[in-house]
Amino acid sequence: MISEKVRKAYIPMSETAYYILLSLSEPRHGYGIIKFVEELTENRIILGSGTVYGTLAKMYKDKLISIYDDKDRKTIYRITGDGRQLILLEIERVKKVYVNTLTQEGYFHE
Amino acid sequence: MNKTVFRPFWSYDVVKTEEWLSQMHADGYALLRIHFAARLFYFEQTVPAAVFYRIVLEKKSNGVPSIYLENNIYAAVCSTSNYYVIRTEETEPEAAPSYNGFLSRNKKIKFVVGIILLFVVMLLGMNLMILITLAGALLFSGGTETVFFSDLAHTPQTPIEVFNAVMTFAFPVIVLLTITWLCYTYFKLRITNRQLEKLCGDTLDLSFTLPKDTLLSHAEMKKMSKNNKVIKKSKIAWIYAPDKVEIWLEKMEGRGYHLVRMSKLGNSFYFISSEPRKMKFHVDYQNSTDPSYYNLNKESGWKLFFTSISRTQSNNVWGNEYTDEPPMFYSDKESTLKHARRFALTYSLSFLPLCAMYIFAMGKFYFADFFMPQNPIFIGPFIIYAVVCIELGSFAVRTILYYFRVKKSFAEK
Repeated sequence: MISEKVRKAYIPMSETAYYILLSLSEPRHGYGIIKFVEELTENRIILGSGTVYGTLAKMYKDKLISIYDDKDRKTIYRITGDGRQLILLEIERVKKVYVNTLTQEGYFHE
Repeated sequence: MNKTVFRPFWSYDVVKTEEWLSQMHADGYALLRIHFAARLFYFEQTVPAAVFYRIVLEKKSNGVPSIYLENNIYAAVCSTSNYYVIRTEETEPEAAPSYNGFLSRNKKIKFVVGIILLFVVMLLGMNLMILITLAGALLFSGGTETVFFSDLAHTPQTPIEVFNAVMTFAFPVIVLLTITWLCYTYFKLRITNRQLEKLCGDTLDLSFTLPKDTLLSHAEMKKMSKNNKVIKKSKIAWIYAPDKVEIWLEKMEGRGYHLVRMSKLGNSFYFISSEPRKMKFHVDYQNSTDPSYYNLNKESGWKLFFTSISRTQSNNVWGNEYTDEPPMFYSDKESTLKHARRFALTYSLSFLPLCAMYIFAMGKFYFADFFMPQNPIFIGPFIIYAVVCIELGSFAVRTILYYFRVKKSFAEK
């Protein structure tokens, strides 16, 4: 179970953190994450390498991700059980935001 | 036939323990489970085979991560909430768990043991008499114990007397054993930690990150400076206002001066005259760096022009050539501010206490009754202290100003 502290620190998630965790549907290394997010968002989000490094380091410390492999200088990360729980919580939240957006959107178009 | 083995210091050299497990399997004993608290390894008899074991320390792992069990490359052996053991028949599996868990834990143990040892050495050094007595007691306890006891006029009878008599000899032995154990821990971990660092992909050689195509080698640079082709610019204490240097470097590149090298300590910049180009520079501060830091930035197109000699509290100068949009080292507000805050906090927290100390010392110079305030002898040190204090204070203030400039840049956008 994820601790209350971690949950409060991460939810609601910043777009950067959300997409980084979302990209760990399979193990990836830092640059792999940047490329995947670029593709997924069709170049809307281009993550800076410093941002990715910092976020991954923090998530590793909070045990949301772990190292899958680090044989040759390239650290490949994988999501942990805690990370999976957290992203599912966030996905639930984002889904609700999306539903609310759809019902309200019409009123703002003139 | 089952077998149980007690291996008290198995975690000091995990790699060796894993090799031992493989050897046991080759001898026909497969690992069943490990009692981590008691350091007991339980085996059961099996068909001898070449199998490779991996013990992984991962806090809150709660079992073997399913990703390793996919494709049947690894088989789960046993697990607790913080450890898991897997084995494979492949010599070079596609992916292998990291030794990072053991490395960071052993580093902490080594640090604590090192401090205790330092304390012990100081204690022994300060009181040599203790050492001599200890040596004397050791000589006595080495084989002559029984003789010593029989010679006692009064044989200890009550439990307290027996306890005291035993403790007289046992205490130095316990102390010596503890010290031996601490020394063993410290020196063993010193060796194995280095090995684990290498296994975690960490080598101190940073040459793989250097942009060899754009950076001049030392010999090349010497040759070019003889022909007056290299322009050298020196800056003192520029690191405390990194954003200003970034802008300056970008302007230099825009005017056609390419940065080709920086001095070892980072206070000199070497340029060659060439075509104007668009370069984005970023001076990055990190509390600690590892190979993946350099690797990730390099893969993302950043070129490393300078990195501090130290791996902790390191400053790094990165540059990235672009055509349309300048690339961002930090792409969101949160991480940009976090970096600036960390930079300003570290430097100001290390300089301001020093500053306070100098102010205190100056106050002493000026007000202490045994110093004559107007005595010219004391004006020299007073001035030196004042200069150092102002200098350190200005460094601290500049890093704080840098943070506010970064913060303000977001308000403007």
